[in-house]
Amino acid sequence: MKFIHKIYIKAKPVLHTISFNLTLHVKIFMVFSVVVLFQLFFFGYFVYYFFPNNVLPRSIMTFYGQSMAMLNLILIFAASYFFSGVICSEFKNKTGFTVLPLISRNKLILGKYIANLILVIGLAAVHYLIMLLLGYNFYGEPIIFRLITSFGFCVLYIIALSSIITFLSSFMPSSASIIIFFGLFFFFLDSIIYFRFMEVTSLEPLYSLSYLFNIISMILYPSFPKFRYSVVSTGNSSYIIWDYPNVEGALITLIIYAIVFFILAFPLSKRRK
Amino acid sequence: MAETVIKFDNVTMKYGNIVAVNNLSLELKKGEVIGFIGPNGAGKTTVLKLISQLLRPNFGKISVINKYGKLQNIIKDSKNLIEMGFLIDIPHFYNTTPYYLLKYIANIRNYPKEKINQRIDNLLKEFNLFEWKYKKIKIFSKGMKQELGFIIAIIHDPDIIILDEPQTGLDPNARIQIRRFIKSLHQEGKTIFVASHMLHEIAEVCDKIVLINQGMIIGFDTIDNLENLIKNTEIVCKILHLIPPEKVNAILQRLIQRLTPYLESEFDLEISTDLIKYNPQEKSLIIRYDGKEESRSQILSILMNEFNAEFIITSFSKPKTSQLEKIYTQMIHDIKK
Repeated sequence: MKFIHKIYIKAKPVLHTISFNLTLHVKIFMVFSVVVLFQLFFFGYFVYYFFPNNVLPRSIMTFYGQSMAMLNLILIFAASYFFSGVICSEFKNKTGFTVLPLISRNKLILGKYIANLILVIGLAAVHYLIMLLLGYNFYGEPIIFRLITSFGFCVLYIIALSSIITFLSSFMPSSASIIIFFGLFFFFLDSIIYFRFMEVTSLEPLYSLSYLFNIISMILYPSFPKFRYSVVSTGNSSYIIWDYPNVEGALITLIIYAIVFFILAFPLSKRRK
Repeated sequence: MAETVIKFDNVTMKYGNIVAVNNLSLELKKGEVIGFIGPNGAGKTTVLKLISQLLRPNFGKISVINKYGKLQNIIKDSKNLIEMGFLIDIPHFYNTTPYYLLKYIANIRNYPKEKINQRIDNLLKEFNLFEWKYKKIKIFSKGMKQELGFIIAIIHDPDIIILDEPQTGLDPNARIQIRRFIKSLHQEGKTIFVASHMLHEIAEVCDKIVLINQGMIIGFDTIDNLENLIKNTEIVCKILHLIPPEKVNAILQRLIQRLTPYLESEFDLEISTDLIKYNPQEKSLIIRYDGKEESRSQILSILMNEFNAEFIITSFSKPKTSQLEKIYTQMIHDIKK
């Protein structure tokens, strides 16, 4: 009991930091939630009523899978926005002068990280909930267990994403620079390296976040197709395009990203004054 | 003998090649209010950041008293220290309201939960910020933010309070309020370390003054003791009516001749070129004398008996303002020499 009490006393500053940061970002969370709701209702509901050319997908899994691309976009923007300021904002905005003498740097970063994680996972939860309701509306099918598994992978993906952005926040000068850098990296560099890597080698690009995200939609299907890649022939040569990772590969890579980048953020942040 | 609560042992802090704090040694005793004075770039804010652990020194040791009454090296172990409050540099805040920010600060410093709301209300009322309790801090004026920064430093009722220019940007009433509050905290037995440029105001509240220049302490004592280091001093003599302009030079010459045995024998021409100056705006004579009490009484006697036809004296005193400024200026000047 004493041990638990001791842990609680040590964790109290982190808990209060989580609570405080949730109140700081509640309005932005509402804005992102409205964006999620709007895009889901527009692309997942209105287009089937007001644009007759759009035919509803045959299976509920395909219907869910189609909304995933938009989810990825929203998660990238939300994670960049919320996590870019975890460390660097305390130095850029000089709010560190107010709080850092009163709470240890590690507890402050941990509290802010967890608070922002709750918000971004909350956005994903809103997306999945609306998807569930729309799926039931169109297909009348009960909740499938694989949707929960997909959400689980989504949460792991968010944790990996947030750890990478927190790592960037530990040494980059401002939130804006992190958002721009990560946006450019994800939408251009990651894709370019992904395709170039596959042209040159036949190795599975498990390093790529875009590639890892594909597990979230593929896990919805009852069984994975036999081949996770396709072969492309160009003239005399041919190369492999990997479509999606297997469960074990995705799980291990996302966990490694989540742990390594998060741990690296702390010693780098200590060097900042 | 009061116990030491903060101790600097040969602390040096460098920013690249620039030495901000140079082999500084200092002890602060419990219950004292210590003023920290120095020119811009002297190292005041750096010293305060070292105590608050925003910076780590390159050399030396900083010790703060812990909950068990022992001095503890904060570089090696910063747990279980006595409660401290800080106002460092110009305060910057999150995009929230004073209530939520103060509640957060009080909570992370383990202030009793049942007393937090009352404490927040009392402090906000004290500084006329109560009606701004739920308004966003970003709309606050500079003075209001400074007052909020002060409240943040004391919200959790700390035993040691570190203040960096607490009166910056405040109107005269607010400055009086801050000084009153510092005095009341002093009466409660708090130890307060305040850096300021407002010399005469800091003199009102401080037990001792630390003078710092180029990262080194050049004086640390009570104002009276520091004043004794300065051989010569001034008297301000206020008169009832203005001296007619055509008579000023003649009267000043007569004064110098008559008071020569009691006037300053050596004076620094950079500080003052006149032994006796007449200030028509203030209706006063400023006399630089040799600092002896006997000389003061002789000067007063001569002015009242031999110059009563020229002017009527309404007050005759040594101003604290000019004393501290003079100590400060002269010590900085001596260092430069």
